[in-house]
Amino acid sequence: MAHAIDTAHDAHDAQPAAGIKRWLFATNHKDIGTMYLVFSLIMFFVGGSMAMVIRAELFEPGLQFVDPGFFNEMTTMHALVMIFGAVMPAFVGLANWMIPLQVGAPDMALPRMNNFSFWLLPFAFTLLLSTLFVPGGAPAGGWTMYPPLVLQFGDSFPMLIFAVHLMGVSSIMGAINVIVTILNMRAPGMTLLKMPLFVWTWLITAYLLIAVMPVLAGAVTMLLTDHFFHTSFFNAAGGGDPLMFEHIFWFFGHPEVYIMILPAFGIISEIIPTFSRKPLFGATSMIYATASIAFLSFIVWGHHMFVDGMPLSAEMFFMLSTMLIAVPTGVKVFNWTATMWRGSLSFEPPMLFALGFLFMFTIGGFSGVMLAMVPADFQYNQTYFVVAHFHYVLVPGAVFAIMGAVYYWIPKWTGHMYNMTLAKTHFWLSTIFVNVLFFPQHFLGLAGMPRRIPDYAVQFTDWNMVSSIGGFGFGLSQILFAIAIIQCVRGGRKASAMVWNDAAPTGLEWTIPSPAPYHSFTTAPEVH
Amino acid sequence: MDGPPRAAPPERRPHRKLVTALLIIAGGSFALSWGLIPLYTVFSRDLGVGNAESKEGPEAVHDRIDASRTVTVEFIAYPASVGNFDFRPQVAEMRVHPGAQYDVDFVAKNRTAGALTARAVPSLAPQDAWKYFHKMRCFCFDPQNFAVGETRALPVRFVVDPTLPVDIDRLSLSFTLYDAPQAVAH
Repeated sequence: MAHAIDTAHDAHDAQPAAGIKRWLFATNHKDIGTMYLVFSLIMFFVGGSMAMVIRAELFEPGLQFVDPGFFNEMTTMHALVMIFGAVMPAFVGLANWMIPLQVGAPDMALPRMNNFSFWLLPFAFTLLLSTLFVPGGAPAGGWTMYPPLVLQFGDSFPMLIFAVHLMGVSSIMGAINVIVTILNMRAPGMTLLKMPLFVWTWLITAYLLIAVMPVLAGAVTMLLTDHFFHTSFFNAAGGGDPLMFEHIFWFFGHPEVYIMILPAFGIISEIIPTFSRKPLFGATSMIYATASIAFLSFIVWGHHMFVDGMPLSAEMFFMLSTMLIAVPTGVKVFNWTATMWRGSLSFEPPMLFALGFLFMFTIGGFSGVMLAMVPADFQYNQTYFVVAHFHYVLVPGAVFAIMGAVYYWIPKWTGHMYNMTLAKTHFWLSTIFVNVLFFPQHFLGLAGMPRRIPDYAVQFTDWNMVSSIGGFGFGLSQILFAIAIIQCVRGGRKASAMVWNDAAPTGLEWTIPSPAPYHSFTTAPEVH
Repeated sequence: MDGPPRAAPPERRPHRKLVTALLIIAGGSFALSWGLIPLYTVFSRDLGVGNAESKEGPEAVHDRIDASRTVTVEFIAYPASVGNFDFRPQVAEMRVHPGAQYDVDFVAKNRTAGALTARAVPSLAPQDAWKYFHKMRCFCFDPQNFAVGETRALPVRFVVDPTLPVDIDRLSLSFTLYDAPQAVAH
């Protein structure tokens, strides 16, 4: 920024409050973004430890380490922590940091609400994780909370519901903040179609969030009244229907899946053009493809319940609409590939993670199309094939995109370059182990191994051992990620304003110094 | 990217209107989750699935008895929780003529040492046949009180519609008897 602009606005250049107050009363988008990201990293390790318990128990057939009840608590809590504690807050953290910088706004539109939506999360997860210590143990019926099983939990049941309500309120407020920031706070000249893809995908994600999180809130409220006030929403004895919960839940649940992947699409659409040194191929078609995926996400929920009782006509509808999603997703994969075509590629850590995403997310997409077929799903459902599918789209999909985003933007946040060798080692170890971990689960599922079991028939032993070794390797590799981040925060080679100088990335975030000043764009930049 | 310094901070559009609109969308979604319940009932009835069909009142009685045709109706009784009730139909099956009215009793016995309240939910296979199966009288859905050791017959009166498709010659009527301690019997 020009010197004249900075001095003209000295009044806005207040420095952060000292000590804990800076964080408790934070209204600065960068501070709140940092808190979201740190929270997400902690939850990533908490949920990861639970996955280690699962993989340790499944290393061999028989019961070695934990009893089956605790195993079920681990699978349920692993899912809840990873979805609502790790992946979603990481994307909100990135949105907080990057959206104001990318649209040229001084801050998020509603800073106090921003503070509230972050600080709900530690309370929600304290509540959720404390269920591990209450009589009856933590929720153990799967993260989908199907009645009547969920109604039979001990004291953990109301705590689970209240925690979900808090997470929902937090997400809705976060989403409202994102939409208002994007629609009202763009710098002059930043038209909608000029917005970076990360901002676009977040705008669409935010609409999905406010459309479906309240549906989840409604569903869990009905569970609550069924349990405590003797209503019969899902109770067959009173004329209700447990199947209806599945419909309401998955009406939320499928858009939720895209809430966890659309911002990842945005990140990949930022990283690949930078390190290909070419503009994004088909940028406008990317926006339309994202919007199509978001629309389709509302009409495909039935593919989660093909075997649960559904008329043939509905199965046909949900099968075909699900397969239709492959079209806009194919457009995206094509555009990313075409962006690299004849580009001048270089393989810095963010690009490695983006390429890992591209290959491995596509594997998850293919197994998704297989699961969309009703007759095939009759065979695959409730097996490890499903586990392999959604872990491929979520781990080397969403999680790799988040890691790529951190490696892409962290020099802008801290002002330091990180240890490239360490980051590349982290990438290669993660990529090798994530495939050792999840690829054999396809074979296990096709061979008929059911999911959510602590013990299994002996013929599944070999691939389970391989998968567990991959799991431990992947888990340990993430310690390198934490080390790289901590080192980068504490010091390192100074990063320039553009950070990736020889790639010359485009976007407003690269026009301000590194580290980004506490207050940026207090005067709106002009975009031409 | 940087323009000349501006005299005044750029005018921001007011947030209040947009935030209100977004809160209304969120509120609408919350309402939709509750609206899905009647919607589900409508869909279930139209598609002939679930037990939405079974609460119907008696429809027009078909006095046209089709004596040339015989349909077998099987009766099945499930106690939802093992041990509280003995629950079974008095006959395993009946051979009936469409259009004629039949009575059958299900017998339930309280096996516990206390009074019980129970509620029965019906189901019919094949599901598509619900609209051809008319229950003129049924104990289903109403709370039933049982004293200690009480045995009681629970009657059903039904008519199979003469328009029942010819490819259906066997119907299975089942009842699941649930403990319903919170229900109040009338």
